[in-house]
Amino acid sequence: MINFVVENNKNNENLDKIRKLVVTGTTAVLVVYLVTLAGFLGWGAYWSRRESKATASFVQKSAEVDKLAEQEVVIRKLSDRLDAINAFLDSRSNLTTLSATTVGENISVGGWTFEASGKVKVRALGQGVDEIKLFSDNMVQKFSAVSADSITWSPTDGWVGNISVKGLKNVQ
Amino acid sequence: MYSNSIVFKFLWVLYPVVVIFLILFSLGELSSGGAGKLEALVKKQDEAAVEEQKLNVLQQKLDILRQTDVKVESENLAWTTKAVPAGKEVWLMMAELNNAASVSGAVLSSYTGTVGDVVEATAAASVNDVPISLEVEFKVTDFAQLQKIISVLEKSLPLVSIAKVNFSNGSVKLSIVGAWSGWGKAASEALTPLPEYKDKLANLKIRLQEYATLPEVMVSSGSGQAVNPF
Repeated sequence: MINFVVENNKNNENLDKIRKLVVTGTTAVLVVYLVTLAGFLGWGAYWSRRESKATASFVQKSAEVDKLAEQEVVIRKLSDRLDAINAFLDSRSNLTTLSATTVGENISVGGWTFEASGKVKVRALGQGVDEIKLFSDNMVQKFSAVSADSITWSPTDGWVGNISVKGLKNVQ
Repeated sequence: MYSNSIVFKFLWVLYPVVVIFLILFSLGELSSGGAGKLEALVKKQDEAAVEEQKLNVLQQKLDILRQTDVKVESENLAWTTKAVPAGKEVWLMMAELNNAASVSGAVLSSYTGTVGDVVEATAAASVNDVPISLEVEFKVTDFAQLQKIISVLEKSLPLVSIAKVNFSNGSVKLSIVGAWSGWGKAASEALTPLPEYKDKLANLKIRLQEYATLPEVMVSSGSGQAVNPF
């Protein structure tokens, strides 16, 4: 006679092991999932609250900024005007410095032109050609471009040097 | 009796099945889009960060505005408007030229100019951006007198720029460009940051401290009306 009872008990033990394993594993997965889900929802709720708080605060502060519109208008107008002044000052040539630089010892300035390009033409009157040369050499020290356009002598004007200069060095 | 026993014996199998179903169902619900769902929750962090950044900008702006004294800044604005008027104050330029002639001892013999509209430009009005340009002729005795004219003009408010000079035979012709700038349209967005101006103002006060304004200078009011210089 075959003993089926022993075989049946063995199957039951195996089945019980599988059941415990599946239930334990499922519970573990469920716990991990629920904890993760709760954390995720909590994280979402946290940021949602922060956003709502920031939005409410933004609305309140926007209203405060609107009340201070007069201050804002004055600041913006002042800033624009400061920019306009600085732009104008930066764009213009400094002729006070330029005219002071284009004078020399022992010569007199008989003519002086300034062009929009920044070029200055000086009609230098001197007693001798050496004075004109000295003036020209002096200009070379001060300007990046110097041209002696002409040097003439006449009984009425004496020695006349027409010197063109451009690009004052070391200008502030 | 036997079948009941079998069902009971394998009832535990339902547990993982139900759990898997619940997990898949909830994940499906969360990822299917719409308000309160997975994607929206992830976006919340970005949205909150953006809102807080905007709030921070607004708070900084509010702090500056609260500290701003309208009276003081209006006085500063009036001072800067003396340097660069809001309209074409050609009459002030003429007064400056007369002053330069008077200080240097030269004689102002003529002036002609291009001016255009002299009504102060407002944000609403169309701005005629033609610069104020005057051609001026002085009778001078020597180059030193011309230098004096130039130095006076270059240290006067409203600001002028000397574009051309032609000096010869006791006469000098100058091309003068007057500074002016209409009122720009103020930004109305709450989040537009305020411009940094305090350092620029302090630097400009130092830069212009030797500049002289004419006693009779009348600055534009900002009202959009032409200013009577007389």
